[in-house]
Amino acid sequence: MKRWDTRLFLIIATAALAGGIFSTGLNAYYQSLAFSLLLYIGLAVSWNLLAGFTGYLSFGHTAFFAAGAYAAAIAGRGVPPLAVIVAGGIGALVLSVAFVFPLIRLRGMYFAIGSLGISEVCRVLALEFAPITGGATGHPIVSGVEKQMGLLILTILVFLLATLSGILGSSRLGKQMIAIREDEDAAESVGIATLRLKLLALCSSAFATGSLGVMYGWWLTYADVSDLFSISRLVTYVAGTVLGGLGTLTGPVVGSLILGLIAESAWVRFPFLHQLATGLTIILVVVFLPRGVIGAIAQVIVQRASSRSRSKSQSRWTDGSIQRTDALSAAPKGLTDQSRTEVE
Amino acid sequence: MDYVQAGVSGLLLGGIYALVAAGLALYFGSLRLINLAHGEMVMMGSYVGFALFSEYGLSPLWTVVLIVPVGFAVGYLSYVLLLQRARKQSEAALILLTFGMAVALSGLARWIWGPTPRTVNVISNSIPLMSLNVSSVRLLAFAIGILLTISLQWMLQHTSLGKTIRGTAQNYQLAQACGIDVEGVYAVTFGIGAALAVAGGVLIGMLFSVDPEVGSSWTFRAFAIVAAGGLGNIGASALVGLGLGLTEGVSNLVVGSRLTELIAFIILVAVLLWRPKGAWR
Repeated sequence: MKRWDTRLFLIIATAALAGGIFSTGLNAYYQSLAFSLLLYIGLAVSWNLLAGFTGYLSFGHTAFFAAGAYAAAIAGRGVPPLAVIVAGGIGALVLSVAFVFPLIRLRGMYFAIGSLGISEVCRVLALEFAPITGGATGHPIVSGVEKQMGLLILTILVFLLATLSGILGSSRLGKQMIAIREDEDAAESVGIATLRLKLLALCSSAFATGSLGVMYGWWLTYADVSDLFSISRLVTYVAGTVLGGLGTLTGPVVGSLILGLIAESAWVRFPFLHQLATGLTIILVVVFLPRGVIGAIAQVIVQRASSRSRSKSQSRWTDGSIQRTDALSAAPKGLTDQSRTEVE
Repeated sequence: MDYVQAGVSGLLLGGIYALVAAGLALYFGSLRLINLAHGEMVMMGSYVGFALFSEYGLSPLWTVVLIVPVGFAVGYLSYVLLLQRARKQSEAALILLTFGMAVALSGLARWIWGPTPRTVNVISNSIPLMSLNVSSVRLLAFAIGILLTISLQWMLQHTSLGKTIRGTAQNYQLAQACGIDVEGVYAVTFGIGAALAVAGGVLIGMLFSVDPEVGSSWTFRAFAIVAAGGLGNIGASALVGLGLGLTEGVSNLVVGSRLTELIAFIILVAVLLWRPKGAWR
């Protein structure tokens, strides 16, 4: 997480905060648009906490999201909103520790397919436990939270989440997580507690996703299995994160804002074409723009800066291994690839 | 008697499982690639079988013959154009790419055929076999599935292409040193895997209805079978596939179809946790 990334991120997060608060005064259509966009941004930031920082691509986040919505459904009217949000987060956290954590010892693709399976299992279990979830017919959610209020809470929640992720990005902890992403064995060998950090990333990611699920439940006032576990929402924020730049702070926000806007405006008229286009977006970005939009811009900025003051930047990268990973990811693409293949 | 009946019809289904898993086992063993879009390839096979049947009245049996070269070509090209580039980047890129392919294929099916389930209405006779009733279509699908799986195994063991594929899977550096075009072999391997997946899909389309969401369950099943059967070990995978079909057939009767979906997943997680790097090590 480069310094300019953090700065840009804080500006965008503040803009989102202002935009969210502003939109509470607009009519119902814009409120609902703002809600969807903020939800996508929040989910992308939460997903990035695990996938972007530690490199563990989880496709099980639909289950965490659903856990939050069901927490809202169970809580009903009497419980104070803050308690429900926390409960939703804890519900998702329990789910993540019980199901996904055993898988986190697995690397790469094994973890990816395992987590995809987790969401499938949770979906089937949600259909089976009809007393709690309402089964296939669903469960109405009553809450004392009005739509306007819900939007305001979501805005604040997303801002808090973004701030936390920004702090994490520039902290020692965050850099240790990035070291796991870059090379887990090397990270472990220099004394980074990889398992503990992966657990931390997973828990915070799950907690955030669960609390966002609560907000969604309040907004929709209905918990439906096929909607909550729908892969298309996951796809939108995963694609958004990838488009913006996986592992950057700003990337998930910008990418999911773009895709969220497209999803909410243009694709309403072409509902069946939407999924195809999102899938193609992921394919094309992965193949032709591997660092995402923000990553590509970053590369240009860093290259220019390093050619301007090579001697200064060299002394900055020599004190410690964490900065070295930064330097490695900031290095021109050809150079990084070469050094990686040499290591292999 | 009900259980025996269910078991037999599940076992026949297992023949198709074996075929679908064989494709995944082949390129997983060779490229170390978990293709999250494998199930979606199966789904596309089912849809093509449906489309050709309902538009031109073409029997799914002919579709199997037609679709194998098409599936191979699509698989070959998608390796050369997409997967090869992602492989050079990182493992994460590869995972995301196959995920994107799964989403795009599912979206393509949704765009062309809509979200409603489609069924191929092939006429199915019931063949009395001792005291059991066996559906003729199911028997036929089983026979084709097993036939294709066996011919794949034979190809790997006895042809020079098969030996090249196996050699590359065992040690790609050595294969490269021997003058084998490793990336070309990988592309062919992926093409064969894709061809088997779509062929399996056509057979599955004869038995079940198909909808755009159905792909992921086939990915799990195939991966669970491959993980339990052993890396690149197509014979063992085929046996596990038959076993899974049998188990699912019986459990369908005992706990219902919804919980039966979990069996493949339980196998998958058990194997992953018991031997984190896979049951084959």
